Amino acid sequence: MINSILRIKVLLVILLFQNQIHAQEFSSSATSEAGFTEDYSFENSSIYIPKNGLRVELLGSLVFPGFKIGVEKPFSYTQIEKYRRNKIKRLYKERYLSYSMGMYYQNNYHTNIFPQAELIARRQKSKGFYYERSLGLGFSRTFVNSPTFSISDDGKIEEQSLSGNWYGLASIGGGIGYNAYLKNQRPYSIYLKLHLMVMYPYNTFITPRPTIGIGYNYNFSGLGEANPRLKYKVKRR
Amino acid sequence: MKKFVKYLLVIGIALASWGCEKDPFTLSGMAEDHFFLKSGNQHMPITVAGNVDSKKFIVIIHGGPGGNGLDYRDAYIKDLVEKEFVVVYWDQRFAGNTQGNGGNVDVTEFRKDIKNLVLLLGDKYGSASEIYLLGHSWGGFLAPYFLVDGDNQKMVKGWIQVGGAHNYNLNDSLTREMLINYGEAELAAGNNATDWNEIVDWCKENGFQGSENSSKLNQFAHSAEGLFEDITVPESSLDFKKILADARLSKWSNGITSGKKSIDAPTFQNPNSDQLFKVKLPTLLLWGKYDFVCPPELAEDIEKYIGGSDVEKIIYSTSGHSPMMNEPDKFWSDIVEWVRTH
Repeated sequence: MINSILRIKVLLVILLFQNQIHAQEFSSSATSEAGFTEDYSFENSSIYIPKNGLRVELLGSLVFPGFKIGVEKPFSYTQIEKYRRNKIKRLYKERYLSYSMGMYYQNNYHTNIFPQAELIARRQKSKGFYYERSLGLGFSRTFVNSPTFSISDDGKIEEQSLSGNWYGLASIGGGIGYNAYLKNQRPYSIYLKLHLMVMYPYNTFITPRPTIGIGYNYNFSGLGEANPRLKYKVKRR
Repeated sequence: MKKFVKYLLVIGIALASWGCEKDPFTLSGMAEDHFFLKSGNQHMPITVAGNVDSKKFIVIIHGGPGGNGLDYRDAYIKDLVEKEFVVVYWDQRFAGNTQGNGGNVDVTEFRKDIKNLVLLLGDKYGSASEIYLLGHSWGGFLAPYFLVDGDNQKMVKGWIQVGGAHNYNLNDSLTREMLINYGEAELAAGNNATDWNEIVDWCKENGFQGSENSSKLNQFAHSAEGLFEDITVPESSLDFKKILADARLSKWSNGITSGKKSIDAPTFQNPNSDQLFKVKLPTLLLWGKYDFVCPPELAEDIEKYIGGSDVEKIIYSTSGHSPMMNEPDKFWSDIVEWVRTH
């Protein structure tokens, strides 16, 4: 009797959760603009899956050069197919988490080291071009770029090594790029990106640090397999 | 991933250390030294430039609050002053390119910073160094505020006051009076009637006391300077090398902070005039005739109360609040001549 109840319970659990298990892999259902849900075979439709990438970016402004190194990991993407008469247009809406370490040097001011995490929303066209926007949070440690001296109350002068300040850092960014995988199956992309970083508290207020960067993103297996959650959308006219 | 982050941190710190110079002090010949004075978490940048062999250091205490020492560094000061003496460009706390996370904004801290700066210069460039304080505008409050405290004036060889606000209450009352007097004369002559009517009407309806009135008077004072053709228009201050040399966004940020913090609010309780008898130093007073921001009568107040007898005053006839910009040749030449003989 107890065994039967257990068997029924297990069966119920399996029945209840089986479609969630499928959803963890790929959602194989699509939603059309007209409101119809159509089933598609994934193998026939998806030709591109975003991968983990190593990003290297030269950034700076007119007065300070710098660079940034990091990784980006896709966690979801939506493949959108737009049907217009006899043509199919594909694009991908991708979401990444990026972790990076940046640095810049400004003469007679400071060197700034800033690790940060960014949430990136990228709109990838099927011909390779994309544009993206990002939001970042991190922190900043500056090192003033000249010898620093402090004087105690009794007049003793001491040199301070590695003197600087800690700040919180927030950033927004926007850029365009070209992903060589979509047309030529090459595992890299290049991009141009504008960032606005804001450091706080800068003397109880903020200080903005706008930068422009040129970057290179390389996908290689050493970073592990990406398993982004896939959604699929079809738009028909 | 953790190792990756660790390697990046090590590389970053190594590169940051590479940016730091050792021993930046030039002890003979022409100097172009850069270092920082740290107070609390404030890192105040200092540029020392000029002929160190002279052993005469002119320390510029800039205006504002929230101004910038290097804004005074143009072709004139380089040619006329730095070739003969040393000029020290120092950004005060919460000003210019000073970096930090905040801290004390009380005027006593500014005074302490001046003392520490003078101690540092003496320590690094030699105790035989002679220090001259040049205070301009807000810096013209800080310089006498420092000099009247304790034995501070013993550390200094001379005091140069340029359009300085040593007494804020007196300053505001004189500004109001000057705006009314000049305004009525200009209106009688039919010059810039719209602008002067606004200024004169406001001044007659309002007093000079209180921070709001003070702020409004300051605003009108700056506007009034633009209404006189007699004032020599400054040459363009657009100098790309200067712009690229410092952190302009830091200046913007510090300027806003200085305003928010009302750093000069306590100055109304520290009039300085009644303490000037303590100052026995040789003193040079330089004022623009059309300085509405800090009227020339403030120089007369200093002459009246100062304890020393070696006091010289020069009024620049085609200058406003910044004679170093309106008549730079004459201004800097006068300073060089005075420092040579004191």
